[in-house]
Amino acid sequence: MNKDKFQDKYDEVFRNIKEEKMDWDFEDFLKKAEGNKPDAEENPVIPITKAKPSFPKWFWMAACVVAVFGIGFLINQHSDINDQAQLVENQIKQQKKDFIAENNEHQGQVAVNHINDSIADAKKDSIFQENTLAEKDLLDDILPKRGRLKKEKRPKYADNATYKSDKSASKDSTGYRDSYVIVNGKRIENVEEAINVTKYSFQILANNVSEKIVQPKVVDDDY
Amino acid sequence: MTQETFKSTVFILKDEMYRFAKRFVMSSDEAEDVVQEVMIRFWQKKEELGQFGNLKSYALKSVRNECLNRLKHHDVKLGFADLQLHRSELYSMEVNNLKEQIIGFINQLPEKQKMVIHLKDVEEYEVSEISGMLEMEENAVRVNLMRARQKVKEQISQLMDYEQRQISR
Repeated sequence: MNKDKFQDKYDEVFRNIKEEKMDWDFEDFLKKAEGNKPDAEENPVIPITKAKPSFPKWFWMAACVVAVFGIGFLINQHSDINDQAQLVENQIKQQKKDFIAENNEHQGQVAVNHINDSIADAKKDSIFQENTLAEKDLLDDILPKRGRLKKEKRPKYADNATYKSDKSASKDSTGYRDSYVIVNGKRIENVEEAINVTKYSFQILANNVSEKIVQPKVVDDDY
Repeated sequence: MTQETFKSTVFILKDEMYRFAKRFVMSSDEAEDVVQEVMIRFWQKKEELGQFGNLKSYALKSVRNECLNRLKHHDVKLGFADLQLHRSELYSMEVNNLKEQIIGFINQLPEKQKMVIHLKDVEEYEVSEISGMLEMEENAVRVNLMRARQKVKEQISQLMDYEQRQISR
């Protein structure tokens, strides 16, 4: 009984489901379907066709190619440009050769500041210092043998214009010149004057020392 | 295919398609949308429809696919949890009598069971036809049908007991 009741209810429910219908006419459907139809007139499909290029197009293309080659030929025939290119190349080669010849056998290169701009000849921003080692050096007599061995390393000197100008005055390889002395930063070339200045200086020193000795000061030693 | 042929062979399936769509989607409106969309697609390709042997089966498959696509899209949009919440709210609003509650329960069955019970007990197809439509073994159809019926009957029994208790109080 109870089971039949369930079955009845079950059948009833499914019958109800089957009675559900969609309220939609075929006319409405047709209207909707026609409305959704893609408009071929509004958006016409343009087929991709492989049309052969027309004769004038080929003609103009060929004419352009001929013109380009012709211009290229004319440019190649122009000799001035070739000459100029050759000239430039030669100049570069020459300069290169000079540079190699100039730099080849030199070890030390020294930078130079040109003070006087009025010099007419060509200036170089660097010169090569000949590292001439003195044949006989005073230091060889003074230094012991071990010291002399150390000195065999070639000394390198910067180029000095003032030194060069006075080169005749000094032949000593150490660069010392006895033509003047410098006392208290003052250059004195006269011997008498140098002696006087020295005497005066010693006198002042002696005075100061004696003054300090005369007035002894007691040190306050708190410790 | 002429208009008349289309009407008598394809358009006539609209109610069946609508009922089938209602098993998947949440509302009657959405089920109508699904049927309209599928039907218009059929119309646009009406010349090719002849090559499909069983039109009814093809139509129901199309409805199912369209519904699943929509549900998938919906899932992505709302997230699965939200969808379930939404569904339960929707059903709780509708279920004010026993019939609605049972329909809601059928709709919540697993997909295969739902389709099988609908096609067998609502549309009254044979098991062999359902097997062809859903591309399932006949035995699988029978098993799914049995499980679905069992669940629905249990549900009816529970609901009726509950109603009985309410009345006897």
